[in-house]
Amino acid sequence: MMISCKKAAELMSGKLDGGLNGWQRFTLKVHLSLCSACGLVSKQFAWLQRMAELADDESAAAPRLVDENCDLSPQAAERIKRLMQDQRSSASPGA
Amino acid sequence: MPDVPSTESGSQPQPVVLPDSQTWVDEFGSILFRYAMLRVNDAQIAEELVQETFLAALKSRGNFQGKSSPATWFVAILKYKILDHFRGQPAVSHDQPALGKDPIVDGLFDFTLHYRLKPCAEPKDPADDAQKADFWRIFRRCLSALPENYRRAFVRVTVDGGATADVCKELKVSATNLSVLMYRARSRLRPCLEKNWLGAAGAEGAAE
Repeated sequence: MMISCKKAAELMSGKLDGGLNGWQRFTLKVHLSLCSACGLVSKQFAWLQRMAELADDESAAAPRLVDENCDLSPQAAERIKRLMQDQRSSASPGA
Repeated sequence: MPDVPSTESGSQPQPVVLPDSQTWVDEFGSILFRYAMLRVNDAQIAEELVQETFLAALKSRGNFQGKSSPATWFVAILKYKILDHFRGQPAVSHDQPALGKDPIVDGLFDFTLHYRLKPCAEPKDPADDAQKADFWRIFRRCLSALPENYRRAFVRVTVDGGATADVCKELKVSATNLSVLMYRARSRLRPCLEKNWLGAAGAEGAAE
């Protein structure tokens, strides 16, 4: 009944997403108690999960997973400002 | 004056007010653009979504309650625009690659399904790593090396969170395929980060 390291990795991933049944949790636990390589993989997966959660900071909008130099282009900014201006003037005729 | 926030109850001071809409693009444009880029990974689409967000915000700025920061309010609108965008996309492009084999992930294991290359680096303290710009640079690089459907599933599940049923509906994948996408995303990210960060003996050694 000993599962493979590949199967163990699939179960670890499923566990992080909360999708394991009792039997799967049990077989994973047994495997991890016997296999040090997978024990380390399990720790690394948990760390990866935590890091991804930390990627979004308090402002809810500044993901550290996007290049900090990744800005809205000046052309797009100008276009959007123009469209907003159009919308403003059509909303208040005579302004 | 269309830019004055609605002040029907003039005697009650609002805790937060929206800034003048003339300043929105300069102040929040790049924040929204980056938010969209992480989710759609396409500059042109991200620009369009930001544009739609500002135009919608302009129309409904009277609804801003001042309960959240303006940035949070704009992001909430952008989230709907992103949902709308993906709703109009065909499902196959996301589902199909998940059904095939992934030689890179399969190649992590030998024919006995043990690791070909034994994992060797202990993870460090997440809070500590999160402080380091180099870490995020490497994480971004590992993430951008993923196939788009893995990348999107990983970001949607781990960064945005929420119920699996909602994620499946948004990504138009079955629960089984979502778990395959997540397993493969993690299995590719893990050795990438191990090699370039965890095992690289500190940030300085992990240059491009």
